[in-house]
Amino acid sequence: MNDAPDLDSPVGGRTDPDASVPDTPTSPGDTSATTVAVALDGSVQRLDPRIRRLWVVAPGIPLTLIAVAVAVVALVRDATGLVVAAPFVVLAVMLVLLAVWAVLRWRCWRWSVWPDAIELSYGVIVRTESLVPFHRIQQIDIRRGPLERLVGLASLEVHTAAATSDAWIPAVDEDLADPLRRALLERAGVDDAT
Amino acid sequence: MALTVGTMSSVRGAAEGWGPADFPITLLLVQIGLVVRGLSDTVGWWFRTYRLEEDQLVLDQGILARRRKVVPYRRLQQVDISRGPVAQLVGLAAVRFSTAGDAGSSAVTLRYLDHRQAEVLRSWLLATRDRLTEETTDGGPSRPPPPERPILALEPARLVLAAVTSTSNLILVGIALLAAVVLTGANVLIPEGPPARLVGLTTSGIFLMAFGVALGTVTTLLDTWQWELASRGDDLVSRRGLLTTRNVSLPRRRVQLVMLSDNPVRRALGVVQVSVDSAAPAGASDGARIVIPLVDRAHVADLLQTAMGTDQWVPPPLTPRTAPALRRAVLRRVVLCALLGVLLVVAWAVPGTLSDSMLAGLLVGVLVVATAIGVPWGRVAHARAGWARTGTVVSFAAGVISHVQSVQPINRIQSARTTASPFQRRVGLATCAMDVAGATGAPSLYDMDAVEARHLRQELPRRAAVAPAPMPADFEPEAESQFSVVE
Repeated sequence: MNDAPDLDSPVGGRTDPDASVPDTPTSPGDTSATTVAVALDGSVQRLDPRIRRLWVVAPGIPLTLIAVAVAVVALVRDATGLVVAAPFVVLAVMLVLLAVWAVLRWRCWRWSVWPDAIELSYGVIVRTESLVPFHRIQQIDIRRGPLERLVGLASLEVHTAAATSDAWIPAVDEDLADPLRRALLERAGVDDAT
Repeated sequence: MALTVGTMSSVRGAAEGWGPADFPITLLLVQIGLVVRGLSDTVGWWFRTYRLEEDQLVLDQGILARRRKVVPYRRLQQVDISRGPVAQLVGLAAVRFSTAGDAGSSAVTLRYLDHRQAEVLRSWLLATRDRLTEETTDGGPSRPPPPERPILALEPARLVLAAVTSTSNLILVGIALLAAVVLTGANVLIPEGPPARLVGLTTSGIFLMAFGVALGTVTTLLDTWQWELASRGDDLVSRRGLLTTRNVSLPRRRVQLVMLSDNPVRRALGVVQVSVDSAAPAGASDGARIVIPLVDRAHVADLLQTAMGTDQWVPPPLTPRTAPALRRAVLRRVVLCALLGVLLVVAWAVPGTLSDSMLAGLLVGVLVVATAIGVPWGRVAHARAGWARTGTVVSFAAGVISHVQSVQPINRIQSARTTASPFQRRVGLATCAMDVAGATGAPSLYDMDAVEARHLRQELPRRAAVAPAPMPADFEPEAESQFSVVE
């Protein structure tokens, strides 16, 4: 998993959110009618870059609310300007830290789809690498929270019969989530030989 | 309002406390609860029916909200019979069916059956399942139900030994010994005698531990009394229990994991506990496995060969981890001991009772003791850890106080993971874990060589689709995927 990041790959790595999804099948043997915009060649994919904003905004909202609440309490108790400003200074520092963390986290995230398995690699401090073969896939969930819907992202969760299996892709473009799921599930059906 | 009531009752409680006068009221409440439960059970009896159809069992129950559960015979993973003390007196039994899946929702229990009827039902269900599975695999004629062949029965002495030498007992005894050492040390060190609070605390602690040991031993004994293992066709059958008897059957082809576990005492006696796990639902921790309480280590290979019908489950010889793992194993334990010791010394020194030279001497002493404990501990931990892989199984082993070796068929691996902390990455090590179906944790090995770990992660889950099952040569593979959850 030490390959150089491939930002021009067809999945997830697109930096322009308005670019249209290529609707030609990319795997040569695939003649089915479903349009699969997923390369099953193990090429290294990154998360959609918009997730970086979400990773700052999602924890930032409650932090901002807390800062405002503290400031309001301080104002009600007739505090001086510095005490009122303190929570916002703390908030600003935390937001900067969150932004740095989000960038690091995004840089460490890689995922790739092989002809027979899906592979993840993530973690800034503790690095986790995980491989889930298609023939074990039981179910794939697509989840889209309110913030994710706002920016047009979706997360994909792959389940196997093991509770400990780990295959969660936190950010793909919303238009890509469904083709990706279909591509994975197709494979899951084909290879279910055990 | 609620506040007033709360205050009033607490005042009353403070004034009078919970006295004998309250006892009848409590008893009455308990009685009412029991009567209500009994009534609902009795009324529920009229609303609970089960039906044996051609290829599935249908259970209808519920007084207001009707619920129907359907168990296709072919999906049956295990059929257990359990009988509580009262049920044994009146000749009743409960039959529980479980089917594969990790959700835990797929266990169905039929309670209050006549116990002979329960036995008949169980053998009929298992025979029907085998017949249906056979029809789909080769369409051949149905065979009569296979005879039961005994594999192992444990005599009372062995069961007592197993119950006494459990790891939880050892830990309790260890804590009690530590308390005794503290008490003796305080007696020697403090000339005017240790404070009464310390004496009270340690002695009551020792008694508590002794009680825990006795309770744990008796419970385990009651649970494992008259332990027997047999095979019937493809199934392993286990019987056990004195008050509540259990009768568990587990298809060999569903076995996901075999674990051998021991502790220092069991190791010294040359015995080991073997558990055979299947992919039963999460809630069914009891039915999902057969635990063989105690086997001589020398006989484990024979036993597994007899029980599983092939020698492929016998734990293969282990490859030790690499040298950086040994250094880390020692270093981590020395650092842990040193930190604990330094914390103790600092806690002692904070009131200012120690001079600087005494403090320095104590810290040096702590380092010496930490090295003296950590180095051998780390070396033992390293020596007992390792991994192995054959054509059909992969095996991990680790642990000093509780040592566990897992044997996992490659064709049952669900997915694989490696994780590496910055310290591990720096010396080229990683933790490797193989996920197993169900809710049990994944067998894993800490501080494996990162290249080997990556290789296992990349290869084994992929091979799972094609790897041969660790099964006898005449074994017929299943016709379909095993992980459909019953609706």
